[in-house]
Amino acid sequence: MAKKTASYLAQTLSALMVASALVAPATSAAAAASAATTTAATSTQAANPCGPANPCGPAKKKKKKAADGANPCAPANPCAPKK
Amino acid sequence: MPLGADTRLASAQTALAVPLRYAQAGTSLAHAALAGARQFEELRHYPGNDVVDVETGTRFYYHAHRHGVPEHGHFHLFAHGRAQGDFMHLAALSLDHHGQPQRWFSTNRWVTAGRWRPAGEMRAALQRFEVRTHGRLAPVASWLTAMVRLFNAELADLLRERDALMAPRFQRDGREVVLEDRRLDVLNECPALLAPKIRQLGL
Repeated sequence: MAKKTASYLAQTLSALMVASALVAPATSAAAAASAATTTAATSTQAANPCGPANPCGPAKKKKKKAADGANPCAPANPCAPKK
Repeated sequence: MPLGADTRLASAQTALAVPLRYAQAGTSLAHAALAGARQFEELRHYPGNDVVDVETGTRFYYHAHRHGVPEHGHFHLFAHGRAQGDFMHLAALSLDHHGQPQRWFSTNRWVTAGRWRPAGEMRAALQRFEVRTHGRLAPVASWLTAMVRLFNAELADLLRERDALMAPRFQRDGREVVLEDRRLDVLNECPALLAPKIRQLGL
């Protein structure tokens, strides 16, 4: 059983290495959208693109800090889980 | 308690099979993580409101920043507590431009906000980490779950090392000052490469 799994994993790993090398590399992130293409919603986000989107509880405080780019990697909307 | 051999094997299979399926379709996790967005903009969350699993209390999103870092982008993984707005950042996982995982890293509190918890308290959240969703990001969620399980020991070590690095700073400068120090963003990292990890399983 372990031998079978080992063989499967080894084969999958080899296939993955070959196949992923053939895939075109993904494009890097561009700078945030320019004013011309930015909607009202995105411009708020651009001011603090990684801050919580739905301030409630502790997130409210973070939104305040967000003006100085306080929590650039915070989850969006920490208090309103989406199904 | 460490994760069992069966869990590690199943995780290894998923960690390989998901990106293989993408690659066979001519795409990669780096594309899939963008959730169908046409443009990849620095700092924007993908998907916009994150993927939130209310049943398991977990969340993730993908984004990129810091030009010059050799990565396409990275996932941030979170676990939620019971109280509203109570969450902690577990780790971040970076991908290269081919969608291959590169490194795990921890960040300072100001980067993600949330509660700062010692590694010992985060271990349980890492061990039970599971994120599920529907639709196009379902395979990405399965892959992240598998990656956290596969690298569980490394992640526990990463967080312990993070604490060891921060402890003298806390003592010297004060905990709150250090946790809000904008000069400290990425605190430490460890490899997330699949090939050596699979070989290390010693099958």
